[in-house]
Amino acid sequence: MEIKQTLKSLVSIHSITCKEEDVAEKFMQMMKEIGFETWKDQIGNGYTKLKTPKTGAKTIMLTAHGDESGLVVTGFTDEGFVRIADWSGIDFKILPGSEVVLHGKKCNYPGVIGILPPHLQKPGDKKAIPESKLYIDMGTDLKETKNRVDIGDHVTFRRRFTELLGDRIATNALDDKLGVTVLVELGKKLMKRKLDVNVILVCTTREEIGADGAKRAALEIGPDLAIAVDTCPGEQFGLSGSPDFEPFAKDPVLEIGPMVAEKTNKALEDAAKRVNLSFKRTTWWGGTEADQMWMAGLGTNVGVITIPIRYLHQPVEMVDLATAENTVSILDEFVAWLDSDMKEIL
Amino acid sequence: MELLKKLCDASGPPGYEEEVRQVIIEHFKGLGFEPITDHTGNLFFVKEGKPGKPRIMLDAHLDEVGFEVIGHSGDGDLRVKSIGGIDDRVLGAKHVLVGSKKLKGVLGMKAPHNQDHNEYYAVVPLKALAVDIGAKDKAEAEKNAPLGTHVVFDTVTEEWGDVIKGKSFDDRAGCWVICKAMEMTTDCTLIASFTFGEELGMLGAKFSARRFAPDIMISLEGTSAGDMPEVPEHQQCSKMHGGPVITFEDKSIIIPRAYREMLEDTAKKSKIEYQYKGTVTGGTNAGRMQFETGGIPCVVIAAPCRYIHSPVSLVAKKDLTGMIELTKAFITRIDKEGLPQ
Repeated sequence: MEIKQTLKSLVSIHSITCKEEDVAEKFMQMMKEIGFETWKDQIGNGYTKLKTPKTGAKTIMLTAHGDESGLVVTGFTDEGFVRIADWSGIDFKILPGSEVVLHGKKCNYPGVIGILPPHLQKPGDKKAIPESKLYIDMGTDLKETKNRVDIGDHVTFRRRFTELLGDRIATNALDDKLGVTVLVELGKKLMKRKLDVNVILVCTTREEIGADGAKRAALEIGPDLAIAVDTCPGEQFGLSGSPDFEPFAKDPVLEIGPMVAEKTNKALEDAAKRVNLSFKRTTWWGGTEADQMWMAGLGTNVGVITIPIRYLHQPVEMVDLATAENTVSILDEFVAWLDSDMKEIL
Repeated sequence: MELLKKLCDASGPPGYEEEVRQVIIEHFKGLGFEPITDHTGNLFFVKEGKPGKPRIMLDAHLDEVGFEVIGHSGDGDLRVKSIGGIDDRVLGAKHVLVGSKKLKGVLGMKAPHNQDHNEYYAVVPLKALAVDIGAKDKAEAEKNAPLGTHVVFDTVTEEWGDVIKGKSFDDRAGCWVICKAMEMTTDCTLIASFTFGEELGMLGAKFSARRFAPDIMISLEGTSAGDMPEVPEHQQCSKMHGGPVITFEDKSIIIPRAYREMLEDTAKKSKIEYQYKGTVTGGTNAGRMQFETGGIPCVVIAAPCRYIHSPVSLVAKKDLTGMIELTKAFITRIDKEGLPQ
């Protein structure tokens, strides 16, 4: 499975919000090998372009964000432990017992987030431990700890790429390296097509703190249609049937609502039908970078496609790769179908 | 350290210690020992000494805290219960290994995006979580991980300079120390006792004590190091890097004073840095053994480990080597001087 290899090499890269250079570089390198033109901007977006020979053709832009949620170093204890705070969307409850990577002055260092063992806890001391009481242990004293890291340094989870039964993978930062993976695989397919539109695929920055990257991309490119490819909460144990969770390991999800023109969604669904696939529709739940692209400049035509994953924002995020592969197939069909003037949807 | 890594990476919650036993059997076969087993899952090796010399039992438990599959959900998740004391607060977003085939799985939580304010600040108990091995339905889950399959945290043992990170120093550290100590020469008879089910109430130690009735038992353990922020000095139990821990009392035993003093004096004379277990917390096989045998003297030497009973504990290499040295020195002293009268 080619998509698995692409995903594996992308999730192996640590790319906390505001420090996405490495993943953008990797994305551009992959796309360059495929045959796309590549460049980056000053805030860290990685752009890749496939130009149509048609003159005056419209442009479709697809984005996926390269950043992942993580922690930041806020201080030290006398014993040499590292104090931390949330940087971009980590649930503090998952931290005790976790293995993390501290992105230090010279290199990366492993650490663990500990918890007092049950033997030493006071009776009744079973409340969630607030972030302010947690700390990272590298097994070092204060002097060595300070040699390694500084206040403001980033912390991400230890990398794991766990192959489960079937095509299911549990790994770090599927939100949204999975989207970036879809763009890479889409790029490969589009190279084999004769396209009537220009295609720009972007690995964006800073989605987890407000999607400045996608906003910048929309302003810079001024696309005629911009589609955000992201992840959404998929049904998991005890939460099946809840309207906030989309069926897992089934269809990719299309967002309906005030942002997305019905024409666009209809055209995407028609493309899916032509390749014997389908979308699940959902109402707006917010939080993809399409929001910012929609509002950028004089307004952009947008679409939102999300892939349901389990355990969002945790180092065990889980996907069924079949859903991602289907998303690639549908997008390939959709982009190839677009006319140079995009009259069907504009 | 290769043996310690193998021991720590092996899966072995109470009652499911087979993989750990195999690692130990393989090691001792290399040294020319024949394994002795019983029907409960205990494992012994005996090195006969000279007649009339004390018979010394070295005891460590094979098991670690873990889980057991108790059911399957309609979506293909494994319902599990913990075997041994695991704090609910370390469960979220962890990787686990399922069964002897070591299928990979995860314990995932609800995304923070979907939690309301009250949920966000509340601990999620194990019964609200499930192990996900990627099974597409109940049948696939049942086929791959039937009822009673064991589950452990998936943590790889690694050396980080002078400390080691792993999941099960309690009590693979003790198992490792015994493996090393049994290589020593002495005229005393040494009985290596690797017991099952300590985390469920020191189950194996009953049979091991009754079977061999040694003159003295040395319990080799992994104990809590509480040298962490906001823990008052007197509640820290022990400190990492502080040397092997000598117990005077825990919730299962009061160590006979003469024996404890002899152990302490041995550490001093051998210039081995040691520390006292500073709290009366936890329990060990020593307590069970002393009780079951009507008072065979027991001492406890333990490695101070941070974050035991969680997926990630740390132990200092220095404390482990100190433990081996102290154990050997104590045995040599008993060999020379006999047991306290």
